[in-house]
Amino acid sequence: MTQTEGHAPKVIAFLCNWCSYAGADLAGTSRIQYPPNIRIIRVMCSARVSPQFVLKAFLEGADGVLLSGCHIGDCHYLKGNLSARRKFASFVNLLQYVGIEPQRFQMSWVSASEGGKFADVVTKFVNELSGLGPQKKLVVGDRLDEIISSEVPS
Amino acid sequence: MTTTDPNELRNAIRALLESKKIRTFIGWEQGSNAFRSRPLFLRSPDEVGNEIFSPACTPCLVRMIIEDLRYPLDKPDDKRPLGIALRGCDDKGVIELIKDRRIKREEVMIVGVDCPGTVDWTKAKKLIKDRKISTDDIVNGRLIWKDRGIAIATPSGEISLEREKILMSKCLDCEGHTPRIYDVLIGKEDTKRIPAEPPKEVRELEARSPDEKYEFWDDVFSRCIRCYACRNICTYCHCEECAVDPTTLAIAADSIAADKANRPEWVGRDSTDSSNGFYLITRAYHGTGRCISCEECDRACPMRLPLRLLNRKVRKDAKELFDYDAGKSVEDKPLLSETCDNDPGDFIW
Amino acid sequence: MVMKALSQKFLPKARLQEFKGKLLELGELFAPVQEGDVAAIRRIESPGEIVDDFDQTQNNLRAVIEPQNEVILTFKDTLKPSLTEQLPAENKRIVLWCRPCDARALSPLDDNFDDALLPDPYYLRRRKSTTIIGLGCEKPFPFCFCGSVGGNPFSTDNLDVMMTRIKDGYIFEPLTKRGKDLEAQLASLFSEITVEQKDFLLEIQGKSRTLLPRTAPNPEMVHANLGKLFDSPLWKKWGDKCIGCGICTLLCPTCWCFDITDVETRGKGYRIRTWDSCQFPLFTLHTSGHNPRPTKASRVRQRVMHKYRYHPVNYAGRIACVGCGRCTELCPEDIDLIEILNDIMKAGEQQ
Repeated sequence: MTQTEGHAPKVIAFLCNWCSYAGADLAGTSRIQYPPNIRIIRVMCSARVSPQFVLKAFLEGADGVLLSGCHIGDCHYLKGNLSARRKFASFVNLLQYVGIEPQRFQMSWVSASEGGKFADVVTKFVNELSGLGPQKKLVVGDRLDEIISSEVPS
Repeated sequence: MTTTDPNELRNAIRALLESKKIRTFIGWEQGSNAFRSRPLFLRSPDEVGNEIFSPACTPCLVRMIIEDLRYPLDKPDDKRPLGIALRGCDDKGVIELIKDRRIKREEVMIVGVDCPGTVDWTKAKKLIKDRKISTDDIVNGRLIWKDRGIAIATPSGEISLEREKILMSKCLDCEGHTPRIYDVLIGKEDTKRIPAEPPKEVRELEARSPDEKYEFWDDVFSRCIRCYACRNICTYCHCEECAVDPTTLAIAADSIAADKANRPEWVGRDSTDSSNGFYLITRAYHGTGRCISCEECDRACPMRLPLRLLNRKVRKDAKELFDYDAGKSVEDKPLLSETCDNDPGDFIW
Repeated sequence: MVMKALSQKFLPKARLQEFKGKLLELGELFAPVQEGDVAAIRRIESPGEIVDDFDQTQNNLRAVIEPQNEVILTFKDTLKPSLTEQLPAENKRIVLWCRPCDARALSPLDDNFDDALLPDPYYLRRRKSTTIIGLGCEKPFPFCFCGSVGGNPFSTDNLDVMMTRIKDGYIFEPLTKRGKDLEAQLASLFSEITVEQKDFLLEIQGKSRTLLPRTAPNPEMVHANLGKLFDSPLWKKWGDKCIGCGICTLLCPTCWCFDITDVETRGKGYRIRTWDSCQFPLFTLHTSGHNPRPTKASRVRQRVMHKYRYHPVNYAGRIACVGCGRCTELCPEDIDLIEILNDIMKAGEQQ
């Protein structure tokens, strides 16, 4: 667990209710340590998360976004995670194409019993993120701040 | 050269209108100068004289089908099909609308034409200056297909224009001159189908580092004025309420809570780079498996943003990741509505 | 209107770079920049950004005087409400090489914003602090029709200086006191204008009007006819072709409609004024749910009526169109304003 350069990355984690959220809970009750940088948003299924959620998280200042769901075959709604896999296979490419570093978005399959895996996923993700610094490419408000500061009387 | 005789096309349209089999025919009429045309709505056989088919016929008419869904061209109780002229690139748009269940096949009467390529006004402007083409010829000349290129027909003779310097870039990579679905074809069927190749600019961009890519795209996002022309002209963008457009969210003082909850404002009206990026990236993503590379978005953009580099990328990914071609067949299921056990998943931990 | 210049000087090509550099020192500089296939007016940080060879810029003076994103208020999410007013600074601004039609367009904008009862501080602060150097159009562009609406490729309306590109340099003509002050501040760069150059200037000024590629019907007659054409079928004819993108209004130099919204993020907020368009479907949606302009036909009608009927009725006959041609050229479906005006004349005669 490292946080380099004095910047603590802010990570938004979308976790599916039945598997990943329970897995995160298990990590907690088992007292497994993992970086505290994540802010969890519980969704009923990984399929609920559309790429807009990821973009919106970045726009609101997230440095990294995690999306975690059930393993293939274990989805509570049968095929939700398959849908998420298909959607994000394509979206991950598009995100990288516009210049967002690949380390800033990650999907994982974590089951309800994989408290350890959850902690590992978060640790690995935050470590890779820490070297990148804050996400400044897609953030709302920066340009508006510039507009304001350009109106300083000279 | 085209095998479609414009007179034969007019006769076919006249026959359709005389038979009263269709309610309106969507074609093209000559526009504000020799290089431009606009959609033409024909309802009676004597108006058909205005219908043209020439290299000036750049606008993709499929959009007008979507416009008709929202702003009816005719009376609501007129259940006859719409007639429409389609080229080799347009039929994919109709197929996608059928796949999305916005229209049924029998609601359009397709007159197919053989299109060897249409002009790009931005390129034409440059050519007009370089070749010092006279105002009279710009206004009164008429474009014709000639051999593999284009010419301006004027009273004093023909002015040839080099193919690469005048045609839309998508036309230089044409996949086939005639549509695969039609009710009547005016001209000869183009049987060869050349699969779309992503432009080398896409591959070149993919090879850059994240910061270099961002430098390119942030410049594009900064110049966007959020006119939504790319969305409004798009053949796959037919949502009544657009998720990324706050101007289509009909929230009023008396809106109920459910309405407000179901219409979150994803992005504000500020047209700054990140907000524009949110809009453009989301719209590109929504085109996965649906974008047919008609490149109308690119053509419509008043700031000349290279939007074709976004939609070509998304189309390339649909092909490489899922072996999926938008607009291939009405039997296909929409890409993101299905899943497959073999879908790529190596990117998932 | 072409006003006689207060003086005439010649700026040799060799001093152009220095000229741009000096302007940068004198104020916030806005000038045409090449962006791919087109040019746009942008804030300049270094002289090298400025493009000398351009036809028309996609955007216009609104980018400087009524910008698309204007922050008017900021607020913080604290226990005690904290609001900070944001106003444009009254810094000196200079626009280099504004086309005469775009400068003329400031007149209808002034009609609206420089109101006796409700003057708009954002617009006026920028307007009053901006010095505008025009660039005459010796060869107008494929969609220009300024001559038909009271304009001229060398119109001096609302300009402080007119520059004209000739062989080996530019002619620099101050038109107002501001223009003269600018000439004084840049005096070392200019040489005296020769008789040949003066004659050449007169020649190209005279010729430029004849080179306008398009003419529109007499605007006063269009105005008169519009009074009886509210219910004409011509509006549906054009509305059917329209896709409602709003480009015609967003890039029109005489348009000004705006929206005021709040952008909130991470505990802070910005109240912003952004461009809006009467061509957007929900522009006129009432909270009752009624929309007085529910069809594309009604919105196309609104745009033409506003320019050629309502604005002149409200403001002593001033037609709110300068003939720049952008609405036609940039329309993805080639909806041609001149053709609409021709249809108005035809329909008017039949009534």
